[in-house]
Amino acid sequence: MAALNVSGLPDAVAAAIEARLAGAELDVVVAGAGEQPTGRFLDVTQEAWDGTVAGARAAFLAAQAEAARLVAAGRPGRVVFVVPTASVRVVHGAALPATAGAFLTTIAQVGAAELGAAGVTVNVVVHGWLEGSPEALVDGIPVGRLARPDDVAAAVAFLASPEAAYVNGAVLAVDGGFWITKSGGGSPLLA
Amino acid sequence: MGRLDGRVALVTGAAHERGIGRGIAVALAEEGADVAVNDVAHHDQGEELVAQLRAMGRRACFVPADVSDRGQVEALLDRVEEELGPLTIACSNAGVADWQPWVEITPASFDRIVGVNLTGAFNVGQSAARRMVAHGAGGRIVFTSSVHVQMGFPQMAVYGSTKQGLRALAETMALELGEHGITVNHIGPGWVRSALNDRSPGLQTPEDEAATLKLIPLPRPSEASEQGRAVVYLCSSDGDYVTGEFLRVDGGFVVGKY
Repeated sequence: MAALNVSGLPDAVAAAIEARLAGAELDVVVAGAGEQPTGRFLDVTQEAWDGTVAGARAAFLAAQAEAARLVAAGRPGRVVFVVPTASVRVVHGAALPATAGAFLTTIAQVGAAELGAAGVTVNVVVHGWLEGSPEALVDGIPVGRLARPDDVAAAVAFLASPEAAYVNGAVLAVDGGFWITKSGGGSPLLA
Repeated sequence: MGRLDGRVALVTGAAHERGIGRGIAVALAEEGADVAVNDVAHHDQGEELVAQLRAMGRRACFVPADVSDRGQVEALLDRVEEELGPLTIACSNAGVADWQPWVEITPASFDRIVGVNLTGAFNVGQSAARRMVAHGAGGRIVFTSSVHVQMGFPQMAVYGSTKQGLRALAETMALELGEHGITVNHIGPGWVRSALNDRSPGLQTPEDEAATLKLIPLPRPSEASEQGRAVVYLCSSDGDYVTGEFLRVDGGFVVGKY
């Protein structure tokens, strides 16, 4: 029976991932840094910063514990970090999610370099602005809509599958193309 | 005439005689800036550096503080502005590293590295930015990040991740602070024979060093002064239109890696 460990993600995304990965063949750990508040950098509180660091820390420790177990047992497995799109394309008002997600992206890539030989791959899914985010963000998303939880879950499911055995250290953006372009009018996060 | 005459600069993590911070502090002073030197340790070397800067005709002071502690950072910046005047250049340089396999990284090591490299950068960057906005005269913020922003290195997951986090933080700050005339950039040193690298498992023998040199198109380590001159560029009028940028000063170390 394969193990599935999902933490630090919005409830709807976690539920979609759990639904997709029920009965997965491999042990999988999926970790995010939790949700960070948005707002102006100059107004970020120390409490919010500390919470961001704590979220990234929890994500790493969750993934590390599972990876260490797999390596010790000689079992192949999958580690997927899920980070927000601000990690790869920064926007006004999203310093904290951007920082936490960028941090985990390199954690993942160094993990990929070290654990690949043990049969444990480590990858990153960049999730787009999720349903529930300000609708005005859609103006900057080429696909023309906010991300659904299952968009994210489908990418995680691919990376967790046997078909993705040779995908390691990848950063798979599932953000409707948000990160490749830039819309005018400033950030709706600060509206 | 120096390019930074009359500017007031802070450089964190700048005391050690073989550190990048010292190279930044001296380069800023050579261009006319008054410089506050910060470090959490190496007090004797910090005072010696201050004497060197004063001998160059600059105002300078050494202010010990742990950048991972916000209260100490606020006291640090208060003291710098009391002694030297309104801050116009903030160089957040303090950094630490450990080398550990990914599955063996300890929470204590994680907390130490993140505390100094990332929370320290946030503390200094936000405190400096708030003050620069209040002064209304713009400013320059330069972080010392690393080639790890572009290429991760095994055994250094947390160190590299703090630098990647710093990249995202610096870019967001650049977006938001441009309207206040504040630029935010980060430099990417490659191999510097700094104290930080003394424990690097890949640099312990002449053979190790020879192997590393083969990875660098310009086959030598960087001098700390070269990092300093890059910071001078970003802080001078030559760098007026440069913000949100990652300036590698690495001899081409990571060219071709990504």
